[in-house]
Amino acid sequence: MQRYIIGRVLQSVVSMFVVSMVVFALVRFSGDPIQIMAPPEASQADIAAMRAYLGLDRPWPVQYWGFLTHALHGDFGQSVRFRRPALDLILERYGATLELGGVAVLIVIVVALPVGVYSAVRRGTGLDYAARAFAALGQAVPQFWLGLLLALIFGVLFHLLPTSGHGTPLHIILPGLTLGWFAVAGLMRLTRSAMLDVLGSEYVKLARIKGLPERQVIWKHAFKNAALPVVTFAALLFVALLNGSIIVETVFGWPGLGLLVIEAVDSRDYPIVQAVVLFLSAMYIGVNLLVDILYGYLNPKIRYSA
Amino acid sequence: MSAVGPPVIAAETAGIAPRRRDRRWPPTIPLAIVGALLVCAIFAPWLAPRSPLEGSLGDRLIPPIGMENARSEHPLGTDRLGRDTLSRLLYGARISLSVSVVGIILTGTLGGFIGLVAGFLGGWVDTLLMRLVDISLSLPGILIAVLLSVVFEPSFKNVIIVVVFLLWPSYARLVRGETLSLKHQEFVALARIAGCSPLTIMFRHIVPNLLPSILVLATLHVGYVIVLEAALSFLGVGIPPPTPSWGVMVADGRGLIEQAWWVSILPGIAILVTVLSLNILGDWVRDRLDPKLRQV
Amino acid sequence: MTRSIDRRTFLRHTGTTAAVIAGAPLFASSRAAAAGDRLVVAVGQWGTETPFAWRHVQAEKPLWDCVYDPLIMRDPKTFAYRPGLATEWKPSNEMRTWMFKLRSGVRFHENWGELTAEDVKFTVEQSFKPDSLGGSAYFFRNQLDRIETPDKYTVVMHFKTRAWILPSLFTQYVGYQNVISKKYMETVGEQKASVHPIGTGPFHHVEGKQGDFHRFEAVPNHWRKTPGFKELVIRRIPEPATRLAGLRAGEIDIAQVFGDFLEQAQKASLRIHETPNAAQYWVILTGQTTPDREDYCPPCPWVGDQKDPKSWENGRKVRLALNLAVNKKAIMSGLWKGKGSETPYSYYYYPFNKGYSTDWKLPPYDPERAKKLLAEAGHAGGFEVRVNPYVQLVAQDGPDVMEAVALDWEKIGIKVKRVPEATSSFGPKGRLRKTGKTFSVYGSPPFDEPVAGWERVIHSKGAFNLLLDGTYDEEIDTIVREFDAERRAKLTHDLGQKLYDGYHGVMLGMKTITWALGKKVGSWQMLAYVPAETNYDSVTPA
Repeated sequence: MQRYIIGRVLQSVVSMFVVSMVVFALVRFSGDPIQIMAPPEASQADIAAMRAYLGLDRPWPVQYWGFLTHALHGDFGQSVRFRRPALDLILERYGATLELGGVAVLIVIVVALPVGVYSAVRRGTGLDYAARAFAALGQAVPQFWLGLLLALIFGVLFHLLPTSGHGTPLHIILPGLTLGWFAVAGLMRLTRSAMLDVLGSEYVKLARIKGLPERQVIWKHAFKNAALPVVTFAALLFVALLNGSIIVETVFGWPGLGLLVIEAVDSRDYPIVQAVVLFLSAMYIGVNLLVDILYGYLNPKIRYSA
Repeated sequence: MSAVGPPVIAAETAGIAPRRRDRRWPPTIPLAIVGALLVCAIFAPWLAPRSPLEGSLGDRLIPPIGMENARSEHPLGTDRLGRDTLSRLLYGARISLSVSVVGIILTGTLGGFIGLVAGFLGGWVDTLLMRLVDISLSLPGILIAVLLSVVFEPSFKNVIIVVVFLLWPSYARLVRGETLSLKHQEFVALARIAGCSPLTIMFRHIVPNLLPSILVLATLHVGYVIVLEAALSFLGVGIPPPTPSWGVMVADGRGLIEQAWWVSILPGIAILVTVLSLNILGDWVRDRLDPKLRQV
Repeated sequence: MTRSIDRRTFLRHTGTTAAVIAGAPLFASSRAAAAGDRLVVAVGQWGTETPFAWRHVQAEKPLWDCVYDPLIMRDPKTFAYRPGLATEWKPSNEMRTWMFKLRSGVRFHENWGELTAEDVKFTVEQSFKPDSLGGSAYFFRNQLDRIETPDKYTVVMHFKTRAWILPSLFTQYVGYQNVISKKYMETVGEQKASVHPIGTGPFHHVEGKQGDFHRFEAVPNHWRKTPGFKELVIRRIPEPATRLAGLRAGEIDIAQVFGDFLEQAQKASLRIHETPNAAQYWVILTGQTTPDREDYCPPCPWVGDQKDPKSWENGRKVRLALNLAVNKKAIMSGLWKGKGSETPYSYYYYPFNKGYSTDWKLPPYDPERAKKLLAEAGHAGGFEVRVNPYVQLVAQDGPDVMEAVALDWEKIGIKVKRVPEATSSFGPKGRLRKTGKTFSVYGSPPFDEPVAGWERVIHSKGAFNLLLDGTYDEEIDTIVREFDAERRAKLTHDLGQKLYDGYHGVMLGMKTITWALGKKVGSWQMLAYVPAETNYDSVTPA
């Protein structure tokens, strides 16, 4: 087990290196920030001077080495556009994205778990289909469209919730809902099929034979055993929602990492794009690592590939 | 977000018997809808009353028949530039479905092949490929899509690249898991004893057994890709205008929901109905072909 | 920033998230204030968001102009110069030397002292920094010799060449020289000063988060204008549909609306505020340039070969046809909702500019004649052009306008290939002349004199080619060398006439920029001809 863990940790570190290389190359292929920022009057000589000033004229391997060594010391470089450390900007922003992801995942769990369990127990009934259709709806509607529609209904029509921005608990409801609804179907499906498997198992039959109340059979015996894949899925879902919040943040003017990074791409602000991608990737790889290790402890039968 | 999945667990328990009897025939309504869409997509040039690209500002935002000021030559009204909504919807079916189908065939082939190799060979190859999957999943998908479209310019091809990039890990993981469990089954061992080469075993014996699960995943992904394309259009990196895809149309009319609902609601409904139908069909195929399969 | 703060911030945010997940949201709202005294403005795009003159681009003006005072103000109705921080300004030595007399007693926010000549000198000299990219940094770097400050209120600038354009660079809207406090900058450093700017303007900055919002408070008894609202919040909302929703929900008091959003705002009975004729729209017909440029294209039907009079004339005919083919009235009514005019103009020539002629009319809509002209020029079967439907700073509706033009062109047999690319990709390609001769819609803001624009967009040594370059170099040089205002106006008119007759771009008309106002807003005196909001101080409560 110990060897497995050490191996997985090392692999994750290597993965982060690869991610850093991929994003480093990708942003550089995407264009030159100076060309975008410089006013039309700037001559090619001016632009070259500016590029040298920012160290962007050095060969890529040299730049990458600089980026890597600085990043390991917590320095992700200066934002080309804002002239502030990229890390400062990220620290200013990631809280909002974590809030959004947290609320969204909460909504997903609150909706998907009971509905998933219920539709497994009442499989084949009209309610099962209705619940599944409702969940699928979130995936069948483009997020930006759903967001605008919700803002129109709850903000403009009924004046219940703010249409954009960040600040009070009320502000988070519409973006959270828009982000969460999309993911409900996934978790619901998983809960449903995990429950179906467990409900057909010997010990659930045994519990029923013993004459335990149905509620207890479902929640205490069946759900407890179906919970493992569901919990791990929820953990990964949280990270995935952070990665996927760009559209919701754009629609609702939510000042998180998503909005920061999409604009950084537009101005080819290398340090910010690099830092945000590394941050999000590290979250994902970290959670993934934890999940794998957790699985190793809980279910040694699972085949490891490491 | 369907690119997210927990580590594939080799299913151990057999499915519950009654599920096999659940539905022998595919659900008719979704099947009919998907069939109709295919017809629309294939025969769009003959079905569409006019060109999906032509229009003039004088004819902008004409409402569909049944509303005031409607015109019979535009049964479903026109969009912001006076282009015929019905024609754009029909051609849109063609574009949206072809993005999905082409994208998923490529993704399924590539991701499936990687998963097959990883599962069959195991060892360091497996480790390497699965870390690649992790890396791919860890990168924020939409952002990478935007970066890619900046590198390559928005185009049909670029959307396909994005689809492949976002979805290949799902197929790789699924196929790897399936291959792992198939590898240890008797018929593979028998084939080995019979002297079949590893390649023959992979493609003759394992691949045919993988197809059902790939098919299920693909069915579910068709809808996902249509919605994804809409999201890319919203960010300005989808199918470039004026080519009509449903995503382009919804994104284009998003500010008009109250003033001229038909511009975005009609393609929105088209997406909705398609995705729901495909999901129901996917569920059915799954129940029918492989009740053990659950990670999709 | 020290590591321990990082960790603390991190823990705090993690704590917040934990609280949210636990179902007990514990947000602190730092923005609570009496809603009636607060003016909330929503802006779509901010550029670099730094408040410094030497880093500014035009996109920053709606955000930072309220914190500063310009040296030279403008008359809100006529665009003419009025005293600002400078009470007088005078050239000498054939316009190589400029003297500015400053207003006394103007104080920086938060007790950073009185504004003096030293501050003006310091601000302008920031342009010499190697990483100064914005504003008029290039002009000063290349032209300025030295600055003297003989006394507290006098600034004297010496230039290497004649600089008659200089006052314009210090004016409201067109200029970029927001005067900053030398003492503040030197005390706190550039990085800190960039997130909390100190100026002398009618609003002082209180707090803000880059890319999200900035909050300002009114300066009581300001020398220029005491704002009507006690508090100003400028928010960044990229999605126009969301901005409109915010306006309708009463969360936002001022936001730019255009096209269909304008119509919806009207239907929702929001009041509409207008700046008439603030943006000239035209389609740039790329390829008209000098042989040394990569996109030089004599074989292009709309260009022609200057050495061959026949081909040159045919190029003009094709350009005229491209003009005639476009239904300008339909764009005006369909896309601009009637908020625009067919005001005669000729590329950067505004009605307030001297020498402007009312004979310059928009070419009529006449597709038949357009077809005939194409046939005469030997292109009866049409030809292919590339267009980029993109959002430009002043032409926010660029994609729609471009597509409308493309549809009209297709009706006379021209094949239009759309190559959509964002500004951030297209702009640099344009600079390097590598767009593959792609056309695009351009909305131009005003200059004090057309030649200031022509120098940039028409002269072959100019910054970028928007219309054509090379052809009129001599005329432009002559105008620039002419220091007598009347004679310059005459020369400018003559070149304006030539440009008009050459049909070098496709003229679309002048668009009125429109804002929707919430119920809190009473009146708003905007600066005429300016396509951006630069004076929140003149917004009065209802």
